[in-house]
Amino acid sequence: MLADNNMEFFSRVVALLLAAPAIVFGFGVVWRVEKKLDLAFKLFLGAIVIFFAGEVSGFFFVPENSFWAYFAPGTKIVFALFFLAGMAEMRNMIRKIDGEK
Amino acid sequence: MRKKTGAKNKKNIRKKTRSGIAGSRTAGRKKYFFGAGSKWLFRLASFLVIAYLAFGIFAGSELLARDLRNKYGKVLGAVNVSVLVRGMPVKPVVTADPGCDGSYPVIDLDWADDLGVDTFDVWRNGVILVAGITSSSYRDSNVDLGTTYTYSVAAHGPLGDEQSDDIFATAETEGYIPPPPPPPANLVITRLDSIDLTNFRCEARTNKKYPTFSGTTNISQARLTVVIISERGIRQVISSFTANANGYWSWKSKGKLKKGVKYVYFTAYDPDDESRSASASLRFRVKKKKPSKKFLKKCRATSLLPAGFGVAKPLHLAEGMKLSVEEGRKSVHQGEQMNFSLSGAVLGPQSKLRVGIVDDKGGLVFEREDSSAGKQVAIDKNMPSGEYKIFARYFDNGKDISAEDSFQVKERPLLILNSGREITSRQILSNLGWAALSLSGLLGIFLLLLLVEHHLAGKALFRVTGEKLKERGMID
Repeated sequence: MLADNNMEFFSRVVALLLAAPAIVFGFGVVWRVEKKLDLAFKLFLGAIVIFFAGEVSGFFFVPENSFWAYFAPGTKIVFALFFLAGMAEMRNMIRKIDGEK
Repeated sequence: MRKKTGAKNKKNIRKKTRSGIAGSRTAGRKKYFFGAGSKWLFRLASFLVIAYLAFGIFAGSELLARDLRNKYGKVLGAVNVSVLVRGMPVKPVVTADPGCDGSYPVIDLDWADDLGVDTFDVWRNGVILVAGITSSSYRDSNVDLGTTYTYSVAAHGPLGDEQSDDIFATAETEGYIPPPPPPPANLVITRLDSIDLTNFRCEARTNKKYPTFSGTTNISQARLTVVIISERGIRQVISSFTANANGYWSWKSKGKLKKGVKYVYFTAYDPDDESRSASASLRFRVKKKKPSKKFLKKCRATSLLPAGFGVAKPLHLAEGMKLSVEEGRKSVHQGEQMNFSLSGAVLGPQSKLRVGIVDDKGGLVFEREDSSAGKQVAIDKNMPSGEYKIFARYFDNGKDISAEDSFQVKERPLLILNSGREITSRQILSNLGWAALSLSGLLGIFLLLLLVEHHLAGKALFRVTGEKLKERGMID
């Protein structure tokens, strides 16, 4: 049980440590690009920020039936939505560039 | 035709990229001895080593040591395997040996090693017992006495599988030593107010109208009942309470005692076995004056038993009230509601039940007449953290009947971690220095990285768009 807790804690810390530079790089890309590429990366950045927030909230115990009890599962859904939207935007841009009809 | 042109274009773009843009970018860069690929490999390896060590810190060094041992063993195994010729698994011949491990029955299964086998599965009564073991023996410790089990072993190798015949084994009763019964219950009254009864040979005395008794029992979390009777046999005070996990108890009479000789009877019950109980009684006198130092000194005797012990015969309570704080929750936070259960209260038409809380010094913190709002008490948010007792009390035909249970008030946590650890504002304040330093350090690193990124982005000559990527041959 203790090992499980340690493992969960460790994986969460590693995920946060990896997500933090991803946010920085995400901002870097957003500052450098424009148009559809900019929008796509903004959505990816939103997804990683939401993921980061969800991981941070996982450190804390929250009582049932409170707003925070729905926050962590909610972040997963929002993360998936942002990621999907970013991916769709990138796909549309590439389809437009490669001359698909 | 179009394909060919496309391929030609690709080649031209690649050539351009190599000689032009990419070339100009790499020209000014420092060259590494092991090359760019080695550099990234080195970084990845460093990260993995650090992560591995960090994992060791969190999960325990045992895990790392075991892991290393496993790796070492695997290397040796690999060396051995290189000289072996592995064949089909041989059908295992299993022997079962019932025995005992200490006082518990076990069945030891054994079969021959087989080089053609990677793993074994053990089946019991047609259901898998353990799978994927590599050793050629297994101890089944989950067996009931006198029960017969059917075992079989399945061998799995690279060239096939083999299953043993069923064998039968009965967990034997011979040699089984059942766990010893719990020792007989005992109960000792060790103190009456200022008098140490374990070192006292006179009649115990007190000048307090609400005397405090304490003592010990060998029953953990024992439920104790107490009755105080006057010399004329009038039952005055009846109460029940709980000992702590070590069997220590302390009880202060809720009922006011008049002057004269009294008898107090305590009975401790095992909460898991009501038939296991112990009693102790004491004859004592309530006087107006406090026992003098001279009297206390005169009565002190290390070799003699206290005079009052065993004078009155044990009295088992047939009646009484029982109060328990909500099961499994002996602590409550400031400002929360505490639930409790009350049983055995027989209220007459004139009886009024009162519920209250006293602190560890016996001081009344809160008292109310019980209402139909349910058995709940609101803990004040400003109540200091510590040990408290909740009691319920009523009068019936001159009898003072009460019951109590102890609980702990904890400071309201500001944060509760997922692991269950509670962090109070006081703890945060006491560790504010290093917590602020660590958090601001991490935040600083993050902001610094962001600043560097922003600075680098500001140096860009133009903004990148999808079309630009196409122009540069990044997207074909």
